[in-house]
Amino acid sequence: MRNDRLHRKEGVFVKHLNNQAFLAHPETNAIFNLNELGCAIWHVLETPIYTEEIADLLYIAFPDIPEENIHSDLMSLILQLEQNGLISLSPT
Amino acid sequence: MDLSFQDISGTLRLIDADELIPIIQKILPTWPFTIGSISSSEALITIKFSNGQYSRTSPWLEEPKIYYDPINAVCDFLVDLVHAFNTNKPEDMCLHCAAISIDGKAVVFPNGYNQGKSTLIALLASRGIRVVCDDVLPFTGSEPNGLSLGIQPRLRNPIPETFGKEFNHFANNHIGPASDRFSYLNLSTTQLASFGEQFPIAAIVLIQRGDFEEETLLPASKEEALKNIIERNFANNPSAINILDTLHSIIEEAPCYQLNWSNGKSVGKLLLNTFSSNHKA
Repeated sequence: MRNDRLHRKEGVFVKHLNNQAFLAHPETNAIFNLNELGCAIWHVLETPIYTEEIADLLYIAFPDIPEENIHSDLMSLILQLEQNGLISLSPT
Repeated sequence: MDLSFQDISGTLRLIDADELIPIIQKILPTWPFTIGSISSSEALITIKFSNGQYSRTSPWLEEPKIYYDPINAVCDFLVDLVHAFNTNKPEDMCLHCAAISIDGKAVVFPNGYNQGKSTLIALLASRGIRVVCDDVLPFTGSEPNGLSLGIQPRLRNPIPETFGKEFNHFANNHIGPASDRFSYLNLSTTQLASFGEQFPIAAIVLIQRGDFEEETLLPASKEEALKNIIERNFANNPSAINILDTLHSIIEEAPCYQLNWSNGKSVGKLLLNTFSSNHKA
């Protein structure tokens, strides 16, 4: 797994509803919906954090989900968040 | 002729197309507009009749839209009219949805296509439930409230005959302007909310039409409802942050339901039992 340092983009507006989050991008004007896992990932991105650290936290938080599934979902979500300008990555 | 509509900046210019005016008056019976001779100012929307066709231009069309039937020409013109209305109110949302009024509050049906929204609305009207809209609902104010534009409901032809004699009788007695594709209803102000009437939001009801043994109205996920109404907003002016903030507050406050319906026999009672303080099953 690439171990990038992830940062939230400044100014992303977030609203929570039960276990999901809805994000509004201040510049592109797009709105995104994060499921429970995505919500947990967005939460830990409150401070800059490395990909592997997020994965480790998720393995503990979701012990019933196979690690390879968490890894796959995490990488997929990171890619989507980055492509949509919601986070930025700093390679180590 | 130049038509100036209330709350629209700019005119609709009809060139050799004055026969559209009584059609517009029937489809928008309570939206005030004035009729005047063509002025020297540039029109916002123009419909010109020439060589057997109605050609419409507007800021929202990349190329002119052509219709041969006057009803279809007016029907499509309403899309631009609503765009013009939204442009004039840059902070307001506007949803593709249907809505009814129960106890003076709006029950909103925000679904996408092919779930029978317009048919459901016509059916509910035939059962004495007041219609707010069958296609478009602006939201206005800080609450916000749903705002009626007073546009007559529109059914696709042929009008369905599977909802019983009472509905057929109602539909036949309330037919307004009709083309080969669509038939507008001709509802009174008792049956259809007038332009400018505002309604607090009572509930959001997602509808699913199918072959259900029993029609039901059950609690729905608020997350699903929020996703749905976000997708239904087509007002471009508010920022995404404003849209999310406003729609989230609506969903937080309003109960959310799913209506599974098939032949419509129970839908009126289900909705009134759930949302009316006066109605007892």
